[in-house]
Amino acid sequence: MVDRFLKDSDLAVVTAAWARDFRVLAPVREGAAIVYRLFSEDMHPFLLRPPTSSAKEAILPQTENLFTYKYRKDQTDLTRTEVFLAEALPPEPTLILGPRPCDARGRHLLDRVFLERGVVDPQYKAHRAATLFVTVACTSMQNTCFCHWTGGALDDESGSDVLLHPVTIGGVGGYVAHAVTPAGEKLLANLPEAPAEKLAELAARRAATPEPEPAPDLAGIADAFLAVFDDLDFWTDQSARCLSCGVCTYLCPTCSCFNITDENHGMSGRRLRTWDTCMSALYTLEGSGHNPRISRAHRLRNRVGHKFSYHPREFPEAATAPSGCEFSCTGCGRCIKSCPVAVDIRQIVLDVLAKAAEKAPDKAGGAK
Amino acid sequence: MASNPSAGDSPDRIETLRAKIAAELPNVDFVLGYGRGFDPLHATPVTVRTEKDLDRLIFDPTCVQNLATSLYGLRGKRLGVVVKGCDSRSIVQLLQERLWERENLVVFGLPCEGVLDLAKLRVTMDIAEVKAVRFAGSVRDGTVVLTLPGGERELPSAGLLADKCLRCQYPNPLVSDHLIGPEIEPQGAEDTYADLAALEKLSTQERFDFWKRQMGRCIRCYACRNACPLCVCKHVCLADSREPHWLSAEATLQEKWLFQVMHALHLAGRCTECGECQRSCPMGIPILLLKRMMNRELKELFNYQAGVSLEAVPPLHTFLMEEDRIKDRGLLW
Repeated sequence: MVDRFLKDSDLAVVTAAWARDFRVLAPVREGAAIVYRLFSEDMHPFLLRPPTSSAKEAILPQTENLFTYKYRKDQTDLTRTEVFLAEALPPEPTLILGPRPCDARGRHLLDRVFLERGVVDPQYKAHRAATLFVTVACTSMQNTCFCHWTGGALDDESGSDVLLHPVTIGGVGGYVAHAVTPAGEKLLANLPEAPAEKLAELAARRAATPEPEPAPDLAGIADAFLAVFDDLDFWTDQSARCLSCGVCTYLCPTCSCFNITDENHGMSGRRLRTWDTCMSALYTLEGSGHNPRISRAHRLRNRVGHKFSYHPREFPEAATAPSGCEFSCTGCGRCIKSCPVAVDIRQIVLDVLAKAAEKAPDKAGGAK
Repeated sequence: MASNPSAGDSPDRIETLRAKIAAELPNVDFVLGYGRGFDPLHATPVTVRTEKDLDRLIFDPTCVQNLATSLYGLRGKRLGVVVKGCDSRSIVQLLQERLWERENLVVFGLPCEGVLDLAKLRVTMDIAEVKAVRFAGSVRDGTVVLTLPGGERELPSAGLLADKCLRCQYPNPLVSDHLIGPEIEPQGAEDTYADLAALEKLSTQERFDFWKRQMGRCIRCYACRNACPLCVCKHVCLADSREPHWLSAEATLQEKWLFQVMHALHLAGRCTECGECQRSCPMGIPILLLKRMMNRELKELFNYQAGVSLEAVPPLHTFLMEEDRIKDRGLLW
């Protein structure tokens, strides 16, 4: 597959061409936020910084209509009610422009939950099959980024259909467009081949990109977490600032929890699947009134534990998966960057390792 | 993470704060203060339980959070809390509404010249590239010097302060047990509600389109609600109630909008405009406008401003047979 060249000035035109075949979601700047909007011809996609929200919404929409239902009274016997179901329409072919490699890798983690755990989720499967990722490679790490802790990299291709490498040094700015999948190659068919000097620029920039600060050794984190699980003082201190809002979970490319509700309007309604957040007390509120996660300490502990302990324990083969995703986290850093009180999951992970080492100096490994 | 250089602590003042807190530690369960977050632009709330936690304390224009927000969730404890002038108004309001007992609270008040609005900075640059921050000259009229990969960049600080600081009339905490640092003359301009006037100049349709666009970004994370020091219902909020079923689970414009209207109405006469709702919004939705609209009405109708007097009774907590500013049109029963 030859690499193609997409001029920055052609971006809107090329996107418009894609929009003839796909529902295109493209990032735009709105004040301080960068959000995905349905592409329209008057829009110029903004690809220079990672979007505020993750690309998850393209394959796991915040609101998913599972089916609609209608009750009808039997006019000859009013004690009888019939129910009619209508399944939801299949998703439109979708293209999401502007995710980052950490978003694209998130697809593997959602796949594990919705496709690979014995039960195949038909809605997710349909979205997944209908959606292409045109990803923008990163050129540097932001101070909230830690993809390399989780096996990712600035220009990781995994999970993308096309990877756009920005080349902006001298001459015409744009992207070296690299097709990762056959569907991605089809998208690029009408673009010119990347000129040799652009490829040289790209190679030079990639060679000159500084190595990130080495990632800590997280080999022992799954067990270290369990070792500090019962230390509620530790978790209380970690979570005292937490507001228990849903910013971290809703912006996360891998958080997959959902709620299912029937939204009634008289004799008809819709069964919906909507995002849910484990940071909310309602998430574990049981019908009896009992709540096993009564405090923010319990809830924040669950989020960290799920990402770095329960997930790797549930998918032990994940450590050697081709995607390289061992944890249920791709290190995008959105939960850090957008947290109103600057909770830093990296620091919590390091504190867990240190605390576990303190508790059992011989057993806990990994803490630096 | 490596410790980050801080933005502009006054060494004397922070030492005084630490000493005052150290002296109170035996009398409280813990003290809520500010520590350095993951980068030099971010502060993060910290709990001070023992003297060894004192080193983490900072105070500078990055200390944006209103720590009074955490109080209601911690009732039953005896706590210390570090407040700015604006934050102290939330405490006044909590005490007025008997949502906290004065005797269980030790307030460390810090006169404040203003805090940064990172959203203003984010519009002009990628703030994740900022390596260090310092303030040259005064917080209000000086400059903010940012160290970026390409070198230093100096910006006038007035353009980066939160809007609430530009109109601040209460830089000095209105309630405190320990006032730390010299009191400051209010430097804020009179609040003319210019932001509301600009919005009201639009036609109804234009205003509707404005809000549709803004609320279209909402992800229903409820950071606005949870960051509000006076939104004390939290997890029994009617936004989450299934019975009665006020809001559906759908992420539609009308559900998002209905919640914001509820929030604004429930804060009428209570909101001190600390701005935490808007600051916490990851999508940058200007929801403080709605609360300011309510506050302007409250000011006109009842000549009342929330959180400035412990003795005052919030207007919607009481009633008068005859309101000064509300004409009853002379009608008789």
